Amino acid sequence: MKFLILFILILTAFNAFASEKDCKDGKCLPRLLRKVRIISEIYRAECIPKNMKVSDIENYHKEHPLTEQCWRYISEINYLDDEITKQQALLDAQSSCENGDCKNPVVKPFFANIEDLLKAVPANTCTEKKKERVWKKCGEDLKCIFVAGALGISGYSFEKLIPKDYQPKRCNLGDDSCSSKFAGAFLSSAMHFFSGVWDLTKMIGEGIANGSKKFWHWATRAEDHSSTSQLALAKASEDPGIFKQLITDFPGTMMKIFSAFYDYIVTWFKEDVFCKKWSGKPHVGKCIRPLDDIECVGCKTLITGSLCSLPGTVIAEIVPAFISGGITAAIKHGATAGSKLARVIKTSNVARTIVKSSKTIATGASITSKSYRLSKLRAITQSSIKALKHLSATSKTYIASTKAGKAMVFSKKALKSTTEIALLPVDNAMTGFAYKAGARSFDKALMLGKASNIGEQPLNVSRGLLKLLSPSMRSAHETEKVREKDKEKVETKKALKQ
Amino acid sequence: MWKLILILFISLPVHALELKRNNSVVTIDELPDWTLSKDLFGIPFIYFSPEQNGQRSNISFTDTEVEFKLNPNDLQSTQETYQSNKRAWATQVNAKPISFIPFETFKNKKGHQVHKIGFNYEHEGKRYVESSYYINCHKKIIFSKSLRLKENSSHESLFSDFIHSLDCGGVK
Repeated sequence: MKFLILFILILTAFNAFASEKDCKDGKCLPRLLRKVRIISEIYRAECIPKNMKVSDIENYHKEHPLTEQCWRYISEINYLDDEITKQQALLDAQSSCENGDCKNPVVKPFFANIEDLLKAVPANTCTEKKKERVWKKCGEDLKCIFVAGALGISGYSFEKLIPKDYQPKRCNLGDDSCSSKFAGAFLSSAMHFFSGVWDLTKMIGEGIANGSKKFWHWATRAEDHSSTSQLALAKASEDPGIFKQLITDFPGTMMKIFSAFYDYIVTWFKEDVFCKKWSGKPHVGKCIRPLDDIECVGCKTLITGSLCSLPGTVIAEIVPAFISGGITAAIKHGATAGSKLARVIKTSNVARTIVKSSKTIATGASITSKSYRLSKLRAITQSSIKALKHLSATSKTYIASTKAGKAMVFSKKALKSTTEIALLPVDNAMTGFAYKAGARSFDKALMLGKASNIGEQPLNVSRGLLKLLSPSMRSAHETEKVREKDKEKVETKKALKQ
Repeated sequence: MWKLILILFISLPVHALELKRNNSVVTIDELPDWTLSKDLFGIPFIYFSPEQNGQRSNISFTDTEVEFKLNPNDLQSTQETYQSNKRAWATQVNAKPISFIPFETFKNKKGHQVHKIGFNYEHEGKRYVESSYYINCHKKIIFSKSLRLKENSSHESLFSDFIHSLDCGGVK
């Protein structure tokens, strides 16, 4: 069975290589995603205790041996995850046509993203009740995305953007590059004040150092930001309660403002950009059939599947009008401010035109890839990878050969819980986890030292992996297993003796 | 007795408000009923007046950390650029420019060169007066911006007092 697992994994690897070559327009992504999901599910079921918190994973690995099967799963996950990241980056680069030089414009216009997302909402199922359910969940999701965005802002202190005692729930921070892009673009426009605007290099580049003739041009960004912010603050001071909130808890208030901004964008899309029927001239008259179904797409899905692809130029254009015109309503109503704000803030034709003409990634695979990157499943496997990397770099590592099979151990605690052990010190320091296809077993991946005793038993069969096979395949592999078992034993012994 | 108290009160020195950031210290005169806030929308320091006519006026202070001596003649001759940039900003936030405050330059009471410019605009039915001050304090440029409702003209002299009292002894 050990060979069966190896066979499947190698097959997977070959497929992965094949998909690399044949991954034009991200075609290989769905296959890679399916594989990584399946193996991650197995890893979670067989290698990590049920309901384990992500934060406890490193301690768990420190105190428990990692079986060779689990090692193979996690190596494969690591490989596939890297491959997905690489292919996604290639697709992103290929799809980035904002500057008009995209060579293979396989992507659809921005609004196609919304259409793809709406496919998940069957006709006539977006009831008021469902909308309400979706909105309730939005609160925490938006906070999480806000924090992810704040983490991504460079040159500005994180503490100034996030409330001190704020602990986001179910939030996979730092892993959410797309949604953080959306929140980051908002924060950059609203907050990223003076960091970069007083850029001396730019000043010299623009010839200002040799005279002040271009000074006003150089000062534009700082002028614009300060004018917008100070106007917003003056207006907020009209309501003492709002003003107090702003000056006593600015980060917390910014979270509310961000939620309102999200709602404003959704309302803008629903009632303007994607309005189904107008009374009068489109975008000038009244929208009599808004795209209501958009409210049944969850915030996280909508942002990761679509809004995060909004060009920064659109957000940069909308935010000043939003901040200066709607800050009081935004703070008062938070995530339900959109419809109120839509009435007072007129979004420009420029923004609407950019949205309509912008080319962004719109393939289903890209969206699925983003949802995988956000998943709890990935959070678990990535934590495992991180923990194993860390432990292998900082602890003395052994391979313990037991009756149940081989296992990797990192501490004395783990050794105590392992009986009948043949200890094989790992001679090569494991500073990384990037094991290539075909080198996923301990024997091939690691240089092992000599052992005083050698385990006789082969590895246990992976129940999860077996389930993936059809009955006929299972039977064939069972036969194969018997034939290969002895051979494998001999090879293992031979390898360990060397 | 009350005369003595009054004399003592009038002769009390105005307390200097220190605006510290990293190695930089900018000082301005402090007013008792004004409120200082930090890091709102990324603005390092912003000073709010008490509410008047339904709104608080405000003035911001930023040490740009840029070492550069501004040339008043250049700024004066190119102020049209400032004006066109302000028109563009007004369009972006749905405001309407009313008029521009011409560029002027003067030395404040601490001897630092101040370059002032501004404009008046209307936003959501209210008229505002905005002034920008670029102050050459020793080698560095300190940026300040004041904003008030048109009817809060009494705050203009206070803004002027802040700018005149501005010093940057801590700036090396």
